Amino acid sequence: MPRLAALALAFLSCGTGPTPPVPLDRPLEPAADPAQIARGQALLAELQCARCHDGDALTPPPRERHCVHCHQSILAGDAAVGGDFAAPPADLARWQHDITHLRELPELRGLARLRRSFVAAFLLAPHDLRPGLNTSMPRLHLDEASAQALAAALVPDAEPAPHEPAGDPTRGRELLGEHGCTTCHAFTGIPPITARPLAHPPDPATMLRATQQAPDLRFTRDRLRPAALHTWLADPAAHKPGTLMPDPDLRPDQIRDLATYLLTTPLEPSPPPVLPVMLPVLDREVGFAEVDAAIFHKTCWHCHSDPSYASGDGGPGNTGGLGFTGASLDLSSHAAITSGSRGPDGKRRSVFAPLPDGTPRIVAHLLARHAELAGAAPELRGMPLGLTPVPLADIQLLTTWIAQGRKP
Amino acid sequence: MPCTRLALAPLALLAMFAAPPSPATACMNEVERVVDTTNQAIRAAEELLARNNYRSATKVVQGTFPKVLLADHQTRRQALFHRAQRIVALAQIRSGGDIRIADLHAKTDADREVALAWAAATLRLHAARGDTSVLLTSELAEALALRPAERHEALALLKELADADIMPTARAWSVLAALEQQRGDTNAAARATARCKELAPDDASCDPTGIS
Repeated sequence: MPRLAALALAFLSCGTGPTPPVPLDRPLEPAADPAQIARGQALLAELQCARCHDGDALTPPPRERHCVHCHQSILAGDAAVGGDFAAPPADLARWQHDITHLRELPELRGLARLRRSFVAAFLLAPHDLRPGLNTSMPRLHLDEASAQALAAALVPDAEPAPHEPAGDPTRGRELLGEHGCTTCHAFTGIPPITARPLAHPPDPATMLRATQQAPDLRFTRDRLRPAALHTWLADPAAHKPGTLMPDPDLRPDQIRDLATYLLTTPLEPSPPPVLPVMLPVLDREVGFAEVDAAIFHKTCWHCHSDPSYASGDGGPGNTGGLGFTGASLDLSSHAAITSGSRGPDGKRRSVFAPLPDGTPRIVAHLLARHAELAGAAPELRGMPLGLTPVPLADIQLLTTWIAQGRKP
Repeated sequence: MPCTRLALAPLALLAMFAAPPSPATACMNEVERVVDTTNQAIRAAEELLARNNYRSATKVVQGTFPKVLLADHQTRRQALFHRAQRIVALAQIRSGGDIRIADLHAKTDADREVALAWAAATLRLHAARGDTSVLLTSELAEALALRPAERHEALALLKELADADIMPTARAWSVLAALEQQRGDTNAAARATARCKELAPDDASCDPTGIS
């Protein structure tokens, strides 16, 4: 229906003067309340957003506390040349092989193009915005007021009224393919578009980064302010210096066409979440070493570590961080895992205790991550937080090990 | 020859970690464990302790933190220092107070009693400082179990962990089994022994020999 409305508007306006802008079905966002901005700025620090993101409003932590900078330093081989990370070459090579997450994340810059209401909603219920990226925004411990305050701090300015006339969405769809936009961007909910090769392709490494960070364009209408979408398409780097989005080299009329398609084309609804199904317990014996290598030591212990051996910082999931008070859960050894975590009542509880449906709590958290990425909103926070789900075959190892008495 | 090698292994570890700790700081977990020699030394001491090499474990710790017996000593690596204190305390407990270090002489029964008292007090101090680690709780219980006046507390600590299904080690089950046996609850002792053997089938310490 919106597409028809846009077409009708284009037809009616033919030869009768300027075409009105794409109609908005929502009011423009006013400037954010200064008190809310201040609260949001405090939350940016409290939630340690700078441990993952760079941004003008963020104070960068030391390299060893910045997950992405630390990984980039290792990947660049800085560790081999001395300094704090001076490590034997074999260890360095192993780390470089193992680091698959948090190699690069979107910078919190040029955010004036975003709709503040989208930012708040996204923080409350993050979804898979960038399908090529194996890391997504984690579900933080936030209430609605906090999410709105953060959004106010990130997008403080008022939304400018759109003034560009509506374009031709059919032509806009063609432009998506002709300019190779869908080489990097997914656009779920529309009929598939075949992308032409880019006229000026970047080097393969940059191409890979761009593909990983490109958002699914189905979210553009919720995510971007319409007026900003036009100026973004005209010159992305003017909005966000250093952006991986190339200048699409579009004429003003083409920008209008493309923006109109992005903002108005009908979308198929997202498919219903397909919830994961646990695989049955294995017949063979599964030892702790196997489960540790596949799950605990591979991923979990980065945020659930032993504070004694990590300068007193056991990570967000143990001693706290990223806005979490810390569940006192150490997943770095058999004894520590068996020691359980601290529950909401302050008492320690077993991570193996069955939930009402019989699923051990630790397994339920791993399954919840699958559900999150499938689009569901499970009550339990999915783990690993914001990262690729643990494969079901590895969860099967865990359930088998638990069923067999969780021996060391 | 193999026996000689085994005997020399702790000495080799000692030689590796006799050097003063490096001032390296790096990100947590993997990197810090690899680049930081203090971190490596204390983890090596943990391994020696786990292999019942109490004297070697204590020597590694003492080489890293010469003031390990001082309760209020402040160091840049406080978390590792506290871990080091726990290692020495456990070495004393598991050796029956037989480790000679600084003012703990280990020559007479009275000396050994002093060492055990120091160990229990040290672990109690760490718990009082707010360390809520279940492992520390079980270690404290292990220390208290050796002191007749404090066995009741040791039993209460371990039963709470067992009831919550958060008993951290086979050794903790073994201590609970011994405490239950000592107070005459043979069924509870058998259950604890069974769980100990399930976790550590080859560990002779799972057989409750009583607490002297």
